[in-house]
Amino acid sequence: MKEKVLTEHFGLENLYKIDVYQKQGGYRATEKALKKMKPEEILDEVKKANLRGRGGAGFPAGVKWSFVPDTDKPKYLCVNADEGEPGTFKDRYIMIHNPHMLLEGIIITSFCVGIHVAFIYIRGEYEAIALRLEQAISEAYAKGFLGKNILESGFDLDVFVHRGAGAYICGEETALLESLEGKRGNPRLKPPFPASVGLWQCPTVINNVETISNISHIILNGAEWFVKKGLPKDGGTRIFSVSGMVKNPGIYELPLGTSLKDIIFKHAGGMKGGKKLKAVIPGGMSAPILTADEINIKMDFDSLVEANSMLGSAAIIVIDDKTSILDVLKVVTKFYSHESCGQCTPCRIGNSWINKIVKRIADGKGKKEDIDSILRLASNIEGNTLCPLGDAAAMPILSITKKFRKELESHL
Amino acid sequence: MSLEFSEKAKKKIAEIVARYPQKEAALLPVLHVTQREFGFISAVQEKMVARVLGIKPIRVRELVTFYTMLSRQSLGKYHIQVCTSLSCSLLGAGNFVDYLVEKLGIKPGETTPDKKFTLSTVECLGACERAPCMMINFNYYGDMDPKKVDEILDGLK
Amino acid sequence: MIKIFMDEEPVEVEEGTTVLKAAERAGIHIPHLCYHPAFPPEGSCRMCLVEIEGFPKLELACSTVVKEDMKISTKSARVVEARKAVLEFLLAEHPLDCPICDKAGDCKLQDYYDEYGLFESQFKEAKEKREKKLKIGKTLILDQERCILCTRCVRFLKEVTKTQELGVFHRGVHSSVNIYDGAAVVNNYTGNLAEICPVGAITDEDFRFKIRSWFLEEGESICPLCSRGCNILIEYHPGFPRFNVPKRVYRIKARENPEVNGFWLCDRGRYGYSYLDEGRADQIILNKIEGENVLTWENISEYLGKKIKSL
Repeated sequence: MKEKVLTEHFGLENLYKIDVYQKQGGYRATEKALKKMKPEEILDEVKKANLRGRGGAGFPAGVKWSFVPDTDKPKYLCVNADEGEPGTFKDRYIMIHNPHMLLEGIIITSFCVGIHVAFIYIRGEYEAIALRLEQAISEAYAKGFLGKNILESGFDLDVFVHRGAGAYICGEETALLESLEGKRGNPRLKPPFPASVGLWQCPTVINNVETISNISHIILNGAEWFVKKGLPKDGGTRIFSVSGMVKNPGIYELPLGTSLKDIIFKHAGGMKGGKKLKAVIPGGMSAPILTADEINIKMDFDSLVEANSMLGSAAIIVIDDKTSILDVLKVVTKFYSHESCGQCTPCRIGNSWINKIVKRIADGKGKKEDIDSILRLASNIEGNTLCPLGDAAAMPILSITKKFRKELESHL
Repeated sequence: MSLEFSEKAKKKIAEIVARYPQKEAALLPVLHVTQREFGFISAVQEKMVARVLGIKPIRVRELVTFYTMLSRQSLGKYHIQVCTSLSCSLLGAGNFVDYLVEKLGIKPGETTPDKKFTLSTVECLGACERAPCMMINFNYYGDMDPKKVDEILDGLK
Repeated sequence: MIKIFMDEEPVEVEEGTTVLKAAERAGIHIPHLCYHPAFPPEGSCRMCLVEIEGFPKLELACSTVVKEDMKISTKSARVVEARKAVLEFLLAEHPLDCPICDKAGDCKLQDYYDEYGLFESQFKEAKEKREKKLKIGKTLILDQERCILCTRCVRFLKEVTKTQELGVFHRGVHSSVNIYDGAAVVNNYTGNLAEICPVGAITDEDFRFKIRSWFLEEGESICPLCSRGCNILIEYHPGFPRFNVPKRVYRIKARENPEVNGFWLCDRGRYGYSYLDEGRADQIILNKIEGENVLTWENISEYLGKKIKSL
């Protein structure tokens, strides 16, 4: 792809420094937005751009922002930099290579919605990246892009980095809010939604790093340009995180709608070590698995839903034919069992139960009825939990067990 | 072991508390400062943090036991955290852990007798393109193989 | 008032009523564990899931507010299946303690299994092991294995007494309710914890192992130990025909009265019932009035009443 949106300048040395960033045209979008546009115009542009959330749920960003009510209460922006979905590492690249691009998005978003305090909730393990963000924030304050009366527009904004401490569940938006408020990362009931009742009961917008990073580009080049980069209903590009048994794992920014087969074999160099492809998880570990003959699929929200999977965080994990699916299932169930917050019954107990069964099978003590048990329990988790982690666990467990049933049964 | 935060830590804590409209929100960042300062968060540290923020110590323990990165026990000088999630498992995280167990003579969750290394298995670190990977304290190391592991560990003083 | 349909029957309820309360109004009981009318909905037990037309997933009755023309089903196949699923999950990690558990006969888990469960256990793994006899208060004992993490106890101490002695430690299936390093639950309302616990996780030493709840009858009364007049339920043994029981009253429970004591009782009133069985007046001493035996157990209250009124 000729002109990338997000990763355009990633190879540039010191791009994370504000001077270098500005030389590439950085902060021009901020000037345009704060000096020449009204908040309603910005909202309109983002809506027209059909920018869907890049965290996993894919909710249209402009629509989410429009849910924020008119109120005297302070409004907040939380940038979700928790990046816990296994297979996903794109946000890490954005933040380490081009933190100012994220900051610009934060400034414009906040200006649009009327937010004066923004938090970047970043996973605890990304300490080096948190430091880089803090450096970038200092630089932005020094140059007047943050703080009081930004660019003489009368708009004030403070941005803070808030570090997590090792809990996948804190990537779920309401658990993120609880964690930020200094509590255990237990998700909240929805409704009410964070746009009306969020941080400290105030309206809060929560968006993923990649989502926000697109904002300055939309403002500078227009919604139409952005839509053309992708598909009519899904504007822009996606940064695909490719890992697993491929020759060249890494990030690949490509238009929405790119074929999964192409991503694996053209861009990521194909299978590593001459191995054969057995299965692919297309959207982060929570996305239902695809078998080798299901990879002729376009990587966009709707195509994957049609194939009973999901685009999720656009993290592609490639599994080879020498890998035992039982091992895959063991790793998957171990993950959700470990990361469950424990608040609601089906997820707390169901995930642990399934993990115990899979471990028993792996120990050679599997019973005939175990596969049906796993399917039954996972179905009982799906749809019955307080937050999407239950579904995020049930979907891969169900798809792996159903599609590779014969192989799993061979271990009983 | 003093029962007071260092001046540097006190300053950092004050700066953190000032960011939030409600003091409790500073709890997790303050716990990071605390663990940095003391190496772990035992009942002593829990009570210190509780005092600083005007909350009950039980609220502090609720967080310390919830978040994987917060430790109630003292850790070795170098905390080796090996990722055992999907991509790393596909690329041999299992063998990687076994190699470390053999090399260090400890199992995951344990610390070497000289208190130099603690070994843990963790979930996805967000560096899947460099699988199999590990984090030592807060430094990421990817594309691990026995030779690289030896180089890195033997180089740590 | 708005009209909704509960299992196809029309019901009129006030705006802002939850599905759970609306069902109660219609005489339908929706099973629930973590919900308690004193606190805002928690939504974690998932027992109260119901089917609402137009909603793709099952929804919580405790927190969903009714809207005009809402069609709710509390008995559909999906709901029945979901209830069984939640019960199965709860029972999977629940110890089979009924034979030694005080709550037996008074236990929501037993009641719901009896009504909505009745399935064979499919759990073949090792259950999580935790503390079973943790002394957490003056007379309270916590059994962490029986605990279903409804967090009613934690929320009571946070919202009502504001003393926060209990918390939830660890994560996932390892989550457990606990006190802080021996800092016992100390306030004047600790007894309410054993009462609001839907299972036998929090038991009261005052009642522990003394009697089975199904032998007890309930009488409504008012606590006389202070001027507040909290509404109580006296749980007493009516006696056996052929042998004596050591006492009649075994337990005092709170009776809801929004204008007096709400849902709660103080410990003084709850545990101070020994006067009901000890030191009772059991002899009529003044019996002769003008030389005649006139007082009997039957007419004594009338006689005393006349005397008091004439003061």
